[in-house]
Amino acid sequence: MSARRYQDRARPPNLRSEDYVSGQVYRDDGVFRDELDTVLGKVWHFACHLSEVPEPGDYRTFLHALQPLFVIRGEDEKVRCFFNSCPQCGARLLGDGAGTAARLRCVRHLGQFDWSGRVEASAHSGDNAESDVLSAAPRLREIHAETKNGLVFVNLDDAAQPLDAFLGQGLEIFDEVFGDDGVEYEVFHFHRATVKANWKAWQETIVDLYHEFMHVVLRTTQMTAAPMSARDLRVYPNGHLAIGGLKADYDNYKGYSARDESAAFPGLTVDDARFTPLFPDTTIITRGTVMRIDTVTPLDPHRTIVESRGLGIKGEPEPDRLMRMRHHNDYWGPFGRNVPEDAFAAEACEKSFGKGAGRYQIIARDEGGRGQDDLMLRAYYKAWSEMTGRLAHSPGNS
Amino acid sequence: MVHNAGTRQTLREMPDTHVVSGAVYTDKAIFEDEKRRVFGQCWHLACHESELSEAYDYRTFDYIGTPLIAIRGGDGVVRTFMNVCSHRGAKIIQEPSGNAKRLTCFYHLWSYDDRGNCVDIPRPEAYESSGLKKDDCGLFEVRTETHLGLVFINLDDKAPPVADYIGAALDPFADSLGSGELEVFHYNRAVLHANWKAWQETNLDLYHEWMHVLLRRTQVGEGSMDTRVVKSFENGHTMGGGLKASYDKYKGMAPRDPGMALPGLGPDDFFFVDLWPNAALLARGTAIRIDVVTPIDEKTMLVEWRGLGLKGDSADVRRTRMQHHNQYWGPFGRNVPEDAFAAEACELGFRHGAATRQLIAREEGGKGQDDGMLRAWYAEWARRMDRSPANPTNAVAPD
Repeated sequence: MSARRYQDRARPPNLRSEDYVSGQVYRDDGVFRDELDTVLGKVWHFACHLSEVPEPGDYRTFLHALQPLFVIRGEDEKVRCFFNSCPQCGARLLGDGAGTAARLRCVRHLGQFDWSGRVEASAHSGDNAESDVLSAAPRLREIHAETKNGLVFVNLDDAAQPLDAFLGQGLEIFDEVFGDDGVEYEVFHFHRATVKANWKAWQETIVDLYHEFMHVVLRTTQMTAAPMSARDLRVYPNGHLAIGGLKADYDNYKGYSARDESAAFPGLTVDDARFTPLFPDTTIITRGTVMRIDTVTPLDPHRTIVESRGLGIKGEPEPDRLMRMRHHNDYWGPFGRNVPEDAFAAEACEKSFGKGAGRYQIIARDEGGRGQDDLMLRAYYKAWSEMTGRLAHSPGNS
Repeated sequence: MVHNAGTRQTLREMPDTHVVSGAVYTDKAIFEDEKRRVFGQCWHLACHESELSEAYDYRTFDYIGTPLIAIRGGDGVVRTFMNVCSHRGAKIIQEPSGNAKRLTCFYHLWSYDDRGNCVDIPRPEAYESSGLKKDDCGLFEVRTETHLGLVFINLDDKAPPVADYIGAALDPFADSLGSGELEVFHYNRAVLHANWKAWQETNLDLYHEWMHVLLRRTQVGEGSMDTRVVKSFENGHTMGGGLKASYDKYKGMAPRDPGMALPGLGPDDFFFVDLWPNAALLARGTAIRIDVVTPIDEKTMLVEWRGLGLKGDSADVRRTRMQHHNQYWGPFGRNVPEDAFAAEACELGFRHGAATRQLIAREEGGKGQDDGMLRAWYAEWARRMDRSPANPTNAVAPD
């Protein structure tokens, strides 16, 4: 029962090595550099939903593994991904955010590129449009982009395996949600915030089931809505995870009401909650009537951009959309009962790990793959260790 | 004579004890060494016991990147723990102060008592297979001792007791702080953009009283420079004493009522003790001020100021005491904001090497505006850091 001596804080917990994680994974510059190269530089990264670039010329810029990138829909409807940087002089091409680009023009030398990254004649190339200089100019540097279920993924690794092989069965929990050809989804909500915490601390708020104790709204609506034994935690190759069997009693929380069954997404009942954290930085969550997609983008070991999207059904009547937005925001909006609390938690961990005060965290819960098992956290760090070549419990030792 | 780049580098005839290199304020490696050799080993003044007057009162604070919580136990003993949950590392208590029998982490509701014991883990059965037990999950305790009502912590379990560390340095406060009758009535804090030592120097440097209009009026001309005493003690602690103030020399201020003087003090007395490395206690007849400076990094610091009066003060007396305190030491007083300005002004000089050294060369036989306190402070710094303040990076002198 007793307190421990401050001097002993560096001593590892007396647990199996897979049951704890060293605080170094959150603060070490060398670990972070390795993550950029061996993890984020290799995986398929969720960039956006197709509904965010619906027309040819529509683009979205974003950062991934510290690289400025953008996706753009071409004349041929194909969505491609390029470095947001002029191949001739390095200048940024598109400002932050989203829009429609009539053309991609470098502000520095007015070089122009079409939506598929080819060099275009510009007003200033005049009669020399077909000159040798123009034909020799480099096209935009393109990286892999593939789409599945309306989700656009990109990969910085030229030798990457195909997206389907990377995901494997990782999205199976949403097969029915995405499988109805008559239903198309679209993004109705987007917000982003810079959280003062390591990027994995955010991902952990998703992967860690035990932390539902933190959220009053989950204690009230979720923890008792279905037996712990009905929960089904799954681990897939490449570090992807899923959980099913969660239920919610929305009317247990003051001010909320039970949800109309007819508003449920295909394959779901309104009280279903399912989520799948895709390794290493993306999560898709559904709550019966609405979907959330989170992406974390590290800026350095101590700061992370979190992007959060809310999705409803394309073409739905306005009252249905308003209802879906309310359902989304109750939990996941910037003033909802879930997301701001998770940000608080991630930053509270940074306050101890960021400067080395906290040394270890414990991920030792075992409930046979059900309830609030830490199985998913262990699987996440197992995949992380395999990719980085570092041990999560002792990352200084490969 | 105007210095050019050449003479700037060769102004070195001064003894090493009388020169401080700008590198002590700017060098990252020196700062890392300070964290280990200074803050990792010295007693740090955390708060006054009146701030934890009741059982289960707590105060949280950060010390060299470590979140800490000092709490008075049900047995009356003040203890300090790392304010970090043993489970997932979250900072447990966010509020600066409060009262709680249980320290419960918001994240997964793990709970600790006033002794740092882990007393509750929700749904603990899931840890059985791993062998994890509550007994293994107590908070990390930091050594805590109280001396003259001041609560000190030390990250080094092997450090000598705080009474030994302080020695005779706080004897001038024995009657006041030792009376047990004092309480904190004022607390203020600010982040200053300067190296932490630049603040401490404002409390070691008597000569800078020229900066303060208020001190020029009420202090410089009062008493005699010869009656001032600059003293140093074991472990780098120092004292400036024998100063007097004529408060009515400053427009709007009045002489202070002898009846309001704190135990052991005359109403126009002024003296101060610097506890090495980062605390200063200042007595001005009717009020006491305590400064604590904590570095955030080599160019940023947190300064905390406390004002102390008597527990039994009537409302009128307390108001007057606060007025006395604030005239000099409040956030809008004539002393403290000017010192902050000075510390930041030095930072502007040293940060990118425009200034390369400062002089602490005044000698007045331990009286007047002698730099003896500054030299004693840096002598202790040299001892603990195993570096010369004049050449802390062992830079090779230019030919």
